[in-house]
Amino acid sequence: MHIENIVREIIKEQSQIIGEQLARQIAINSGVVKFNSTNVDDLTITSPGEGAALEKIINSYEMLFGNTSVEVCIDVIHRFGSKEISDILPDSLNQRLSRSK
Amino acid sequence: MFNKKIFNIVTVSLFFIYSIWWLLLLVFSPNHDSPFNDYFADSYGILSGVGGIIGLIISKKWGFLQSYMGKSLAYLSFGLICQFLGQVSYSIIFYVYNIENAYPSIGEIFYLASIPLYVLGVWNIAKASGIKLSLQKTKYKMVSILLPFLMILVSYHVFLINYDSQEVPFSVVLLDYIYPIGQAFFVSLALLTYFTTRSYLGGLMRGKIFFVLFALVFQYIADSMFIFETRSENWYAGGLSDLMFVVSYFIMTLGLIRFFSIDEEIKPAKQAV
Repeated sequence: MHIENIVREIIKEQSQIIGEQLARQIAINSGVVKFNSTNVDDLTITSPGEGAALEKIINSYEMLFGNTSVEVCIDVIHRFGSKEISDILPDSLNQRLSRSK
Repeated sequence: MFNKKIFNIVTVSLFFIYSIWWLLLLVFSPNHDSPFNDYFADSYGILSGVGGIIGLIISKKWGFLQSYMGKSLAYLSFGLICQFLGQVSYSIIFYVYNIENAYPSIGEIFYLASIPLYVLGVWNIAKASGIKLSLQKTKYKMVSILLPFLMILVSYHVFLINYDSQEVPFSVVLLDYIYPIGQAFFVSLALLTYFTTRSYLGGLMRGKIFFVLFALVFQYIADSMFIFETRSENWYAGGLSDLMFVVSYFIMTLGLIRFFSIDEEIKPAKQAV
């Protein structure tokens, strides 16, 4: 549930930059998010590994603006408390989080 | 209904027509006094009008005024449309009311409006490109203050330092100050965005955004050329500055078109069977 909230917030932040339609499309293209309705809040993480799902979302958005997109995502994770979820995140993502502090 | 190919064909065709027209004027109107010189100068704004409409269509894909990228594409497009409307205004005054040299007139409202619109366009590009991240560094904070100040200073020195406002109507003096300083401001923002975001900005958007910033710099060069020619009384209809405007509208429109097919570009590559 915590990861879903983070993903939801990432998509909202990215929507402010690129528009909701594209932000949703990129999230769907990541393969780990399914929207249950037209409401961007109504989503489900479809991938079994929540930490890996978060990394896939970040990698998807990275395709668009590079590090700029990644920093937006990482900023969201920090706001939710990166320390609390660091146990379930892949090492590669934890490294990115610690570099950006 | 709309596709990138059609946008490109229309834009390139218009640019081709006006480029050939300009070359023909160079060869067949050496004294620059042919009516075709006037027709050229009074019509090339079509390219900016078409570019603006194309840009507005594309901005809808990016959320129009609901996102930074949508706003930037929309404001830049409105700026192009204002350039077109400015030219149309002067054309109406000349061909319908038979008034020559009507400067300044209602057309200046549109030309002036394009400056804040371009500023808003660049500012939203800057926000989308991560300028907030870059401005956390002290050196970029300094650049963000110095660069616009320097550009305005250079513009003042080049265009205004020997400006003689005696016997010049106040409205003309005002415009003669606002244009070079306002244009220096938007081009300095474009340069600032480039220099401060180039280490962060990557992905599909990097090339597209830098292309649009380059288009704005070129527009500034075209505007500066026009001011130079006008002040030195070397401007003529269908001259070099008119060609540079044609080129700048063309480059800007091409830059906007590059944002059209983003939904195709973000599709994941299909796995080989």
